[in-house]
Amino acid sequence: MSGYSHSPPGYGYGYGYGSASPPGQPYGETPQAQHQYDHKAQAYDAPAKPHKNQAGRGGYPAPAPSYGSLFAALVPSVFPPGTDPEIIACFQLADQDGSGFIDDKEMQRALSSYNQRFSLRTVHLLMYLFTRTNTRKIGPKEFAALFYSLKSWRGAFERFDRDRSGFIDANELRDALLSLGFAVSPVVLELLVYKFGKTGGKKRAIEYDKFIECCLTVKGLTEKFKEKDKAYTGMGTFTYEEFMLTVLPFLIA
Amino acid sequence: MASNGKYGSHPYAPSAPSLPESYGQQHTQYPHGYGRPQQQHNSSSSSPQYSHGYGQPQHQPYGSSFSSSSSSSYGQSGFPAGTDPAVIRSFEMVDRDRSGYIDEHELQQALSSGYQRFSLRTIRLLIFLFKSPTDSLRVGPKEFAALWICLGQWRSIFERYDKDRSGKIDSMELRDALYGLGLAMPPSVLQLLISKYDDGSGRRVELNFDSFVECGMIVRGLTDRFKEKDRRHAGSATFGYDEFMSMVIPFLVSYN
Repeated sequence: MSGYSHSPPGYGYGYGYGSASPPGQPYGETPQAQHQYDHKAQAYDAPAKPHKNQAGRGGYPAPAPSYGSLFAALVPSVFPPGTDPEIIACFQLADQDGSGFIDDKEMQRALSSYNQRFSLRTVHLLMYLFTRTNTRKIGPKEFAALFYSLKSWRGAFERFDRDRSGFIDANELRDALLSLGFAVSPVVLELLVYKFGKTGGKKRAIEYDKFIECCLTVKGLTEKFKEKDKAYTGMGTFTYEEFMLTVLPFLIA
Repeated sequence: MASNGKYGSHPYAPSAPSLPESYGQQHTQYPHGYGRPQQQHNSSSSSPQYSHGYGQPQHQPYGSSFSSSSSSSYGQSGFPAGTDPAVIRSFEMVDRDRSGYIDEHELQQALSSGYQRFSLRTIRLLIFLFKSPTDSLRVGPKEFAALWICLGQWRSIFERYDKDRSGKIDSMELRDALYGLGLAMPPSVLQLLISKYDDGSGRRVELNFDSFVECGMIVRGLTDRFKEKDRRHAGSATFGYDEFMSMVIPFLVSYN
C-alpha cells in the first residue's frame, strides 16, 4: 500500500479508491467509505443519466432556442429522452456520413475541432473505453457518456492548471484526478507524469491532450480493477489471462 | 514498489531472456513458463537471468561489485567490474556527445540501421525500464550494460524465430518465440497482441525487431510482475489497487 491517504476537504470523495484508510478504520468497510465509493460511482456513471446539474459542472452553455423537442423528434430514438440537444447536435455534426455511428476518423475530426488535435491513438482508447469493444465505432448512447467525460476532464484541466501555463504538473495532476474521483498514490502519480508529461522548464508536466489520455487511462484501468473488486475491499483477484487482457489494451495502443 | 532484484537499480526492467541453446550456453532456469504445461516450480530466481553474458567465464551481478573505472576508459565510475569490454566499447560508440549517459536519440541512432529507424517509442520504453529511478530520460554505463545485453539476447531470439529471415516475424513465429521464452500465452492474449500491431492494411500482421522488443518486454515484464504476486503459481493473484496501477503504468508506451 502506498499510504496515500490525503483527503482534501470539500471533495467528498475522501479516501478514493485504493488509498490507505484513515487510522482506526477498517479499509473500505465503513459505511462512510461505501458511500464514497457510491459517490464516486456517480462521478464515473454521471453520463448515464444526463441532467442539467451534471452538465453545469462543465460550464455548459444553454441550448440555443432552435433546439427543442421538434429537433429531438427527428433523431432516431437512440438518445435517451432528455439528452441535452447539444450532444445530439454534436453527434450529428460528427457523423458526417450519416451512418448513425461515429467512426474513429469522424471522432478525431470532431474532437480536434472542439479544442485540440487528438491523436488516433487517443481516439481508439476513448472508443475502447466507452464501447468496451475494439470496433472503433460509437453510437449515440455511448457518445453521450463520452461527451460528458470529456467535458468533465476538460473542466478539471482548466480548473487545475492554476497558473494557466497550459501544463499540469504532478501536484496539479493529483488534485485534478482527485476531483474526478481518482485517488492515486504518489508512486503512480510520478509514473503518470513521466509517461504523459514532457520536460519543459524545471519539471515534467502534462499538456491538455495528454492529460485527456492520462484521464482515460486512469479511468479505464480503475474501472477494470473495480470489476474484480465488487465488494469494494480494495483488493482484486485476476487470473493471468484476465490480467493480461485487461491491461494490454491500455499499454500498446 | 519492490524491485525484483534482478537488475539492481531497475525496478521495472523485465527479466532478460536467456540465450537460446544453440549458443552453447547452459540453459538454466528458464523462466518457468508461466502457465506452461511442464511447469518447473523454480522460484523466481534472484540471480540475473542473463548471467551468461557474452562469453564471460563467470558472471557478475550488475550493481553488486560496483567499482569505479576498472575497465572503463571513461575515467569516471561507470561499469561494474567484469563488464565485457565489448559492451564498454559499445557504450563509448553510442555515447556520441560523450556525456557519460545515453539518451534516447543516441540509442535510437545506435539501433537504427541503414534500412530502418528503430522506433522511438520502443527506445523510450527501454530507457524507462532500464534507467535508474533517479535519472530522467537516459541511462548511465551500468544501466546501459544491462539494456545492451538484454537487447542482444532479444536479437538472438528474434533471429532464431524469424525462420525465413524476412526481418519480421508473423503471428505464428511470435507465438513460438514467446513460448520459447517460457511464456505460454493464452490465445486470446496473443490475438489481442497481434491486433495491436495490425496496421489495418489487410496484410498479415508482422512484427519487425523493434515491435518484437516492445511487445516482448511488455509481456515479459507484466508476466514477471504478475508472478511476483502469484507465488503459489496458481495462475491467479490478488492485489490492491495501488499495486495494480504501479504494476501496469510502467509499461505504458508513451509517445512523448
